[in-house]
Amino acid sequence: MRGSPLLRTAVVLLALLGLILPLRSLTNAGGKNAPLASRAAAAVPVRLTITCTTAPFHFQISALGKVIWEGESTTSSSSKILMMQFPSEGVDLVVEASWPGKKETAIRIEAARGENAPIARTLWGTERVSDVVTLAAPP
Amino acid sequence: MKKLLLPFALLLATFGPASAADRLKVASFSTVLTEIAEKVGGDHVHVFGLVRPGVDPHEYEPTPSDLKEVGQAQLILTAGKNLENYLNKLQEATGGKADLLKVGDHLPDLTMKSEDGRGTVVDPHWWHSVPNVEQATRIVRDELIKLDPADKADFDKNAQDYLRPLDDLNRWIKRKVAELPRDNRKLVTSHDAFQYFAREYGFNISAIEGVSTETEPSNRHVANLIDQIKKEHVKAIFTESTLNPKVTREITRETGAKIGGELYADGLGTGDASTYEGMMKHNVTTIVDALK
Repeated sequence: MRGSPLLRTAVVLLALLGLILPLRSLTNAGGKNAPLASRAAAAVPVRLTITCTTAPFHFQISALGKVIWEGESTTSSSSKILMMQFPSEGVDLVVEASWPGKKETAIRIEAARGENAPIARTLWGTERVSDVVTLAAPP
Repeated sequence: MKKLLLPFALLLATFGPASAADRLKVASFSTVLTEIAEKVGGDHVHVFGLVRPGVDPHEYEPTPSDLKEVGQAQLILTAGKNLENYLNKLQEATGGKADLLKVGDHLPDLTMKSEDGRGTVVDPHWWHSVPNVEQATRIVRDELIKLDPADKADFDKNAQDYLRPLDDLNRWIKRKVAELPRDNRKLVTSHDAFQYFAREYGFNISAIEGVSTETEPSNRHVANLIDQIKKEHVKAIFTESTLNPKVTREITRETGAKIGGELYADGLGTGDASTYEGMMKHNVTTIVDALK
């Protein structure tokens, strides 16, 4: 190999540096057990619709322990597009809703992800509802 | 003074709690059923829990003094679903006089791989689903009413009082589990005892051992499980309160998964887990917090 020894050393060093990243990714034990957060499903836009047979009503919807939508609706239905994780296994939403008076009332939660058909669940209560609904596409 | 107290004593004897001799005698071979029978039966029953909290029911064998107690019972409660392999001894001990109620046999079956991997067996641990325990409460209530119809109103009321908090417990579990993404609900335990829990609350399960705690897992089974844990990026695996967690530790070393904590698989435990509600809350909190 011709050329100055300094240049040759620099070329060898550059080549070694180029190998570091692939070697690191191949040998890093953490790679095998990468944290779940980094593999978590990416957030996608989901249109949530809440419909209540008694209006006005107050509602709170939580996912993964965090409130994602809360409000007071004077009409029977409210809709919002939220960015949320929606893996193929589905999502669990904690739904709480209340309304004045004591009236047998149905609360319907509907989730539509992109062009997919919406998935809906219905809860019943007389003053309030507080339950977990699982929204998953049929197998 | 004695003359003054006599009418009160007579009143108490007539309308007060049933005396020990009058009470219905119930022998229970499941810690969960012992709690149900005590709560539903109230003052009208005397329950002897023969499998005590913390005891592995897979390894339990009744002693002669246990059988003597069973001999006095009018009702024997067992978990059923083939969990107890000593039922013949019980029937011999009672001469078939007592009613034997295998509660689990009246509940839906979930099957799992047998220990030899060649077939399937029924998972006997039905109490890890709260709706199953609610149904078991109604089954025990109906049996007590059959044996002691005079106290039906009390059994009905006591059952209602016990069922109400179970509803709250089920809601609490669903909310707690909802803190976990559904694709993270992978439960690896040291004892295959959570089929009913998994079905009810949306988990996928893998067990280091088969259904019985009496056998050691094969090397091949452990190797397969290590591959699966690595492939599915399982964050934590769980040991069981009545098991030696040696194999579990080996798997965590190989996979990098952590030990999530101890679960009560075979019934009630001690301390906070000495009640059904406490046991379920302990298990659910341990699982959710470790897999988050």
